[in-house]
Amino acid sequence: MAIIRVDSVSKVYHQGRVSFKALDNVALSIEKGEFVALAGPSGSGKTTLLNLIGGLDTPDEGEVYFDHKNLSEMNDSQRADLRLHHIGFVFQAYNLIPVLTAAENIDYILLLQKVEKSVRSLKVNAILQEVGLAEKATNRPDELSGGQQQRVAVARAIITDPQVVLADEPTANLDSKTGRKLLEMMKQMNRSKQVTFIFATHDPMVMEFADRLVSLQDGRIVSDTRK
Amino acid sequence: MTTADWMSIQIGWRNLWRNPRRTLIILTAIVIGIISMIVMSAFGRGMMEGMVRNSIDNLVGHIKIQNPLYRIDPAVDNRIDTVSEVADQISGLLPEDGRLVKRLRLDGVLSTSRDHVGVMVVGVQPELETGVSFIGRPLYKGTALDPDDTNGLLIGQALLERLGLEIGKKVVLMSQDSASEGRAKAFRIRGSYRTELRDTEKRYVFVNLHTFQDMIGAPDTATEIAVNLDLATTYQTGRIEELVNRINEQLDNENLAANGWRELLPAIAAYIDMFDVYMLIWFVVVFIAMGFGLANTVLMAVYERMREFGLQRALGVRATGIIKSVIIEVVLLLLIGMAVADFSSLFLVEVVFGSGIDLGSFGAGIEMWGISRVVYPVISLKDIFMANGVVILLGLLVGLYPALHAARFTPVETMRHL
Ligand SMILES: Nc1ncnc2c1ncn2[C@@H]1O[C@H](COP(=O)(O)OP(=O)(O)O)[C@@H](O)[C@H]1O
Ligand SMILES: [Mg+2]
Repeated sequence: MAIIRVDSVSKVYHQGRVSFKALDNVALSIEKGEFVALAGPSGSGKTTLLNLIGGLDTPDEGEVYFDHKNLSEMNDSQRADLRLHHIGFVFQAYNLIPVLTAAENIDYILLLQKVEKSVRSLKVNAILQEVGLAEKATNRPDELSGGQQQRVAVARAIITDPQVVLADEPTANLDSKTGRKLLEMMKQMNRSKQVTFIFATHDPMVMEFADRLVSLQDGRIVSDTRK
Repeated sequence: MTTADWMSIQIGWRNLWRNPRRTLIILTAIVIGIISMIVMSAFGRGMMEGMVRNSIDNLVGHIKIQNPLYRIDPAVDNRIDTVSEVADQISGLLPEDGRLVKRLRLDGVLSTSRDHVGVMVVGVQPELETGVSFIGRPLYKGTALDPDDTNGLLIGQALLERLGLEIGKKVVLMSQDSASEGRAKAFRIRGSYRTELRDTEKRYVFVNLHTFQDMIGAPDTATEIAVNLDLATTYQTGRIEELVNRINEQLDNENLAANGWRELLPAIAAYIDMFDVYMLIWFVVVFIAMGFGLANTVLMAVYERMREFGLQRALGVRATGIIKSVIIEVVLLLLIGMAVADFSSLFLVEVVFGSGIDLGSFGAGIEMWGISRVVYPVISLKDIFMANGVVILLGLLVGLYPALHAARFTPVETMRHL
């Protein structure tokens, strides 16, 4: 059963009088529990597609269904609520709120979900343990390394037990060793919790980890292979 | 308040101190703005309070009981007969801090060997006037009227000088008696008084009440009864009104009516009522000056944190949540500013300017409006509330502008340029 269905989607960006077709009639279906990499060169439309799936943007043509709900039929607040409760995000950088500690950054999302305090602290402690950052709980982002920051971001993305985690170039700013550890962690979560992961990446290592590789070029899907 | 709100406040607080220099600069502007609002209003109110006091002092009193006709035609016909009885009855109605004086006030002519001038002759109980009117204050020259003195007279210093008189000289007063016949009597000048207003000094001469009563042949007569209460400021009109109503309800003499000073001095009362509006305008003007700085500063801070707002939106914070978080920062900023400014203003007004501000030579020019030379600033809770209210209300309005900006940042735009 598809958790994500992208149906003949096109997206055109306008900059002044110039318009640019970032996605051109893209169709894609992703099953629950998949670990998918959207690959392709820079500018091929990976981020655009990921943003449409996450309801951060709306397509000009076609529809995006998240768990059978048509995103373009939702208003802004409804899409925000969908993201809050069902989608985890990991970006390339600047993932964390600078004035909050590692633990608070993770706690923040549970607070937004109005989770009870006792449950929150249990969950936050457990996930910090899981991503190996228990002793960094009270550090602010600027006191963490890039890899540690990304791990906090993954912890925050996963703590709400979302159906889907969308990760846009999560390893781009990491050295390969740190990147591999991060991917291993996500893979582990994918296996143990059946969380669907969708990556936008041009990092070969991410493609290597993925179960399914969707290649984009000039806004079109040029190949889609399952391992 | 939910835990999430508490978290928003914490985030807001920490965000404020990310750029302490900027925060302190805008805080300083807010503090100076609010201080100028409160101190200026205290000064203005002090000036007005002085004016009201002078006017009340000027034989008006907090409450006056008289024949309503006397206010239109201050003639002997409109007098209060058997005034002792009336005074006794009113005394019974007064609270503990109430003081009562009887006065007999009629037009008259003061004659010297060379001049005749029209004056207002006032028969008073000098020993009771202390704290009620200016004639109860120490004299400028000479000695006070002894209650038994049957031919002593007090005169304004300005009139004394104009007539070329001296203390101890004899003058003759003429006035109408209770049957509207002219009566004259010789008096000796015992002392001279000064007031804030020169006109007052030229207008009133004082003699003992019983002397004046005898002179016009009406032993138990007055034209007015003045009542004063012990009020910290003359703005506490509530007690006055209450007492006025009580007197009017219970007074047996149908010919008499009690009025509070606001009714006796309608122009000043109107000015006082307008004063709040003036202050409000002043507060808004001051706010506009600092409001631009506030909006600008917050806008700057918001643009610096564009990406964070985009991130929050991506995580599932609604636009309204973003607006709320910016407003929280603005409110925190304003609350700190208000707290510091309120305490500083109290300190300035109560301690630094507590002993009054001498307007000096400038003061001489404005005396004619009944404003005292020395102004004692008056902090009014109303002004403090109004100033803080203006700041927080308009502050919220001004804060809405950067807040709406922040809510417009979309994750797609802000996260694109890394
Ligand atoms: N907001 C935007 N405005 C204009 N052009 C955009 C915008 N976002 C992306 N693009 C353009 O769309 C194309 C696809 O962008 P993107 O989806 O970010 O590609 P990728 O993530 O694969 O590098 C690029 O050429 C990019 O310049
Ligand atoms: Mg991209």
